[in-house]
Amino acid sequence: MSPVLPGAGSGPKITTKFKAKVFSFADVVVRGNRLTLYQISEPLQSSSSASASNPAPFGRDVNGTPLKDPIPDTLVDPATGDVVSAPATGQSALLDKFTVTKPDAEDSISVHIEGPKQAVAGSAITYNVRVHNGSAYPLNGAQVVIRLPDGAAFAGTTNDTLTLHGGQVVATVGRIAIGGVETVEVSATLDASLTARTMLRASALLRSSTALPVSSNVAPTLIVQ
Amino acid sequence: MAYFNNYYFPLNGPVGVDQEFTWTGDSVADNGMFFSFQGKSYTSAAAIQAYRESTKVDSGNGAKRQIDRMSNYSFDYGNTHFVFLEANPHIFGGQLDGTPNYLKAPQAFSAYPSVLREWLINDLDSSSQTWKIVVFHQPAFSSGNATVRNFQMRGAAKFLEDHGVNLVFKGHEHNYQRTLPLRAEADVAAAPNPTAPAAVDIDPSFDGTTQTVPDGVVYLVERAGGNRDFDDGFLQPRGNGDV
Repeated sequence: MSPVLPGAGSGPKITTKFKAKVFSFADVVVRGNRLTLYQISEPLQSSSSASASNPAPFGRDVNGTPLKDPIPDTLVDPATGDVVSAPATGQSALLDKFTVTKPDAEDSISVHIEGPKQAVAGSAITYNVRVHNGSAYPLNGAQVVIRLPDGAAFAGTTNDTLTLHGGQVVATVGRIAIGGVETVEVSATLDASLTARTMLRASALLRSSTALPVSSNVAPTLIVQ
Repeated sequence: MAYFNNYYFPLNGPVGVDQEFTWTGDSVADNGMFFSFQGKSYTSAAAIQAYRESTKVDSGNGAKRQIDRMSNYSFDYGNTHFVFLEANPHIFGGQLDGTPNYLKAPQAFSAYPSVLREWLINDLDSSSQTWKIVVFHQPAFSSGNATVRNFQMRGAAKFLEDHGVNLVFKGHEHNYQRTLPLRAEADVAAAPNPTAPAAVDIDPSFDGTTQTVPDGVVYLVERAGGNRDFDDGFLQPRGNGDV
C-alpha cells in the first residue's frame, strides 16, 4: 500500500514517550517552581508473555524494561452481579517521570518601566517598559504586566495581545530569545480629580511560562496641577 | 458544595458554545441537538428547552443552568491555574472523521471560534499563578493512526503557548504519550503535509531529568483507560511507530 501522504513519518519525531496497552494515570506533584509528573501503570503480574519476536508486548517502563503482563480482570456474573474471580493484586510500574522547573532568572532579566516625572490631572500619559532577556533561556509565553496606579485608567484598545484586568494591563510579547530586547508602550488617562502634589507609582513585571516573574522598578509621576 | 462550585463546574466560561451549537469559524448554527431517554429520541424545541432547564442546579449561589457554561471553565488549585476546554467536533464545523491516515489524508479544520479564543486569552491573562495547565479531549498532537487526524485543537496551540501555558493534558487516544516541548509555527493548524514547512519547532534537549527547563509546551495524552485501543482495530502496525 502506498502512503496517502508521501514522506509521512519521515520527519523529526515529536513524541518522546509512547506507552500503550496498559492502563495508567499521572500523579503530578508541584512544589513551588518545580513540577514533576509520575506516570503509574495499573497493577501488573509477576510474569510476562514476552517472546523473542515480541519482547515488550505491554510496552516498557521508565527505564526501558519490558512490562510484565497486567493482572487479569475481575469477573462478575452478569446475571447475579456476584464476583466470580477474586480481585488480583500486583505491583505497578513507573512508565514515565519528568520534571519541569521555572528557574529564578531575576539576576539576568531586566525590566524597566518609565513614565512622565510630572503630569497634569486629566491628561494622557504613556508608560514604556523595556525588558532584556540576559538569561540562559529563551522565554516563552512572555507577558509584560503593567500595574497602573490608582488615578490612572488604561486608554488603549484591548485585543489578543493586550488585555485589561482591573488595574493591570497584560501585554503579550510571546517569545523573547536569549539576549533579546522587547519594549511595550501603554497609554493611560489620569483622573481629572487628582490633586496637585499627588504621587502616582506604576510598576511592571515580566512573567513567562519559562522562568519565574521578574519585577521592575517603580515609575513615580507627580501631579503638578 | 464548595468543591462543586470551585472545581467541577465553576461556570465561568462563555455561553453559546455547548453541544447544541455547531461553530464553523465564527459562524454558528443550532444543530438540532436531541437527547434520548428510555429508547426514545426527543428533538422538539420544547424538549430541548426542558432538557436544558433540567441542568439547573442551585449550589448555593443561586440556580444556574450547568449546560450553558459547562463546556469551558477554569479554576485555581494551589499555585496552578487549570483551564478545561471544549474540543469536540461541533466547535470545528462538525467535522468528524476517524479514517486512518494511511487510507485518507487528514483535512484541515475551521478556525477556533473567536468567542472561545477571546475568553481563553482573557482567562489565562487574568491568572498570575506559577503554573498554567490546559486540559481538553482530542489531542492537538498524537501518534495514533485513528486520532492523529483529530488535531482540531492545533488551532489553539499558538494562543496557549503565547499566553503562558506549561502543560496540556489530552485524551481520545487510549494510551499515554508525551511530546518533546513544542512551539507552534505559522502553519500549525494546517492539514499535515510532509512537503510543507514544519508545523512545530521541537526542543530535543529537554529530558525532564538533567535538563528540566522546556523550550516550549509539553503535550501529554493521558487517556488512562477505555474500552478499546484505537490502533488495534487496524491492520497497519501500531500508530506511526513506537516513537
